[in-house]
Amino acid sequence: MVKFEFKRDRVVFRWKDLKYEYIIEPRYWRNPAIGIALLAALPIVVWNYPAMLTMFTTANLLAAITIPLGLQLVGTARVNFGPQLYLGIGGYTAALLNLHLGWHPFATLLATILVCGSISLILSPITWIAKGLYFSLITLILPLAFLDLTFIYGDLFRGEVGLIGMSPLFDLGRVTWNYVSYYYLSLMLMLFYLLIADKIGQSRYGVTLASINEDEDVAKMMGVNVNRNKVFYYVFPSILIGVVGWFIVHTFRTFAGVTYLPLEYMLKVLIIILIGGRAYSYGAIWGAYFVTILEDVLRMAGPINYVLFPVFLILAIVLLPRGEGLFGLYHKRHHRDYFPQLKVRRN
Amino acid sequence: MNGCKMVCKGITVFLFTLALVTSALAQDKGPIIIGFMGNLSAAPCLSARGAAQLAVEEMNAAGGILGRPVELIIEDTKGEIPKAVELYKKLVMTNKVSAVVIAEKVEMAVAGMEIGAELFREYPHVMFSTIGSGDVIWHRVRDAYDKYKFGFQTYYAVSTHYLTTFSHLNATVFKELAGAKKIALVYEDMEWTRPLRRGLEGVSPRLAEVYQKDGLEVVHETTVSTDQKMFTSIFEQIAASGADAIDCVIGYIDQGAFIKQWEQSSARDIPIFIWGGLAGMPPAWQVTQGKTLGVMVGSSMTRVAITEKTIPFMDNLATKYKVGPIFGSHTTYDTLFGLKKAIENAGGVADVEALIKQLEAVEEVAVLGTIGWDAKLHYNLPHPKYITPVVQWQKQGDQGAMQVIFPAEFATSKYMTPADLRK
Repeated sequence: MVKFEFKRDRVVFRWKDLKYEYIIEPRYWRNPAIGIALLAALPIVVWNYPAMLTMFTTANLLAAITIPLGLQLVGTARVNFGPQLYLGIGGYTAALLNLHLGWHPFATLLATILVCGSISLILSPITWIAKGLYFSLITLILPLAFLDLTFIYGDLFRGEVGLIGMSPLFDLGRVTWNYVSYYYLSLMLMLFYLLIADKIGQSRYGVTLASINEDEDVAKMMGVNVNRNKVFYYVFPSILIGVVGWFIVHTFRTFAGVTYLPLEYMLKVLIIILIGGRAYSYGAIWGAYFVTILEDVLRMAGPINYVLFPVFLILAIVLLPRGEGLFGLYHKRHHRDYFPQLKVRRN
Repeated sequence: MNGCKMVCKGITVFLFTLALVTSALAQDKGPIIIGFMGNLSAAPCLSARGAAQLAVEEMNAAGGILGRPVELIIEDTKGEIPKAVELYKKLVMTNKVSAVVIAEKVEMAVAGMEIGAELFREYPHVMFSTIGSGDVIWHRVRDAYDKYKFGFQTYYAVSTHYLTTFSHLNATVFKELAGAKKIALVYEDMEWTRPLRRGLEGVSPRLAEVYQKDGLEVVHETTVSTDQKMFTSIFEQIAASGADAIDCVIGYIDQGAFIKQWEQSSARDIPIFIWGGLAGMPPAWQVTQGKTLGVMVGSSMTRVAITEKTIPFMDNLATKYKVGPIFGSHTTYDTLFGLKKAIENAGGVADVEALIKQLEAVEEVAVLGTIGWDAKLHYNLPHPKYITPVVQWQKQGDQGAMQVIFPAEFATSKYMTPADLRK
């Protein structure tokens, strides 16, 4: 028999020994609701500028890479400098299976999850054996090694040209409708990742996450299975990032390692984390939109944008509250509002 | 009340008709808009941008196309596929361009072509790839003409041309100029060299077999990685193989290191030919500290008048847009003039199907000969229509200069062996 309890700020469901809580107090859901409403209304504002929709789709995808990376960063207590490895693995898995075996995008999604999960599981012991700079260096090298493989096995990966002509997720008959739907899909993907990060952050796994991030030895003494958790927080975000690769394959319908595997792409993702605020899951969205829009606005300045863009980014990193980024600025003024937050070591 | 309704209906019909007529007039009389996309941090793209600006400036100075001004919209892809996709959509859907020129690596052109195919149904336009020699563009036209017919490729030579046309020309250079009978082949491990390494089914066997048929014995074959820096051992093996000439199918590897190590190896007296890249650019002499002396290379960057357009193009590009005519600039400039003639033949840009038919048939005097595209496969017509001279680095006072040694009608000097040049 399900029992309901209506409290001031939440509704509680009880069934046997299980208990589910849903927060109803406005400060918990108002900001996410406003944010989602604004993002959902964006296509109406830019309806006549379909290219901008693609720009925002790209921003959503960058945020969808950054959110799991933030989770991984905290859960393994290590900075992964090569999450784009799984973007590449996911993308190439989906593209190859779709092109050569004619697999439907839903089948390639399952394969992407399986392949990214397997490879990240095989590689996950690096979270045990290396930490600090060594872990960062290992993870930095992996996507670059994969990039080399795309040239060495050019018959398969098609080197610098990449794979082309994968089937779209769907075709609504009009290109504008397709682009709008891709935007909403990317938005849903990003929000789904945000929800996952939020739920993990709020749950007892979030406490485990925080304890590993604070001090692995203390966490072990508290009874946390640190190694198992580190494997989970390496594998699970890697799968989520791989799914972004799958999404890119079936929306842009081209996939070239030379675009996604080099260090430049990774730097953009890391900068998004820093600018958005590394402690906040929402910060990834702010950071991704900020960087994407700034880059596009500065393009109007002509070739000087190649100097201005990094200068602006450096200024943003220096001037924004250390570790808290853009979202930290907002949070300072609305400190009573609830925001999903990952417990990050501050030192 | 009925009268009022009639008036309202009349006004609605009038406004609707007016809107249609205005829109049609605007399409017929407004500027012809051309979109340009490139990575504006890369030298070839900057050169191509200057060439596109020069072409549009010259067209407008001569009265535009069919009396309509030409407008060029330039977009910077930053070398990223997502940005290229976004900008392609912007140019076609928002700016309503009639043609998109992608002067960038072939993967950008391919990404653009995919998006272009998606847009073509609702936004008819044509697309040109003017940098990148890979075969993938014309393969798509061949395999799915109706879907990709809007795509055209202009480059000095696509990989297929290298196999079917340039290989025979190179064999002539090796045999008749360098007196070679045995040859060593060095490839770089990139997509554009794949057809040369493997051959193209139904088109041509691989390069080594082409050379064998042309009477050259291939005694050594190797592939180098794009990030490789050490080549000495390769040159020592080539020297030991008894090769009379080295054919280097390279364009993107570190040619400074490559040439210096050739000059310091036992293979230094073996004539060397490089297909493209730094060796064919004026800075090669400084970068290699003169070690490039004797190197032969396919290059369009030498001042030789292939047509009456060649020298003015090189001068105007340098003086007006402060960029050198490096690879991608000739092809971009020539593409726009080929497009101009096709638009004139088609009577405008309103009927894109007619424009495509005209592009498939057009021939126009170009900087490097004649520009035109294959009617079925949409790559530009190769040698002898579109010419890339073979030059050799020779001494001119204390400095080096690229002298044309082939084809004979454009030659500015005679071929000399590396050993003779060093004397």
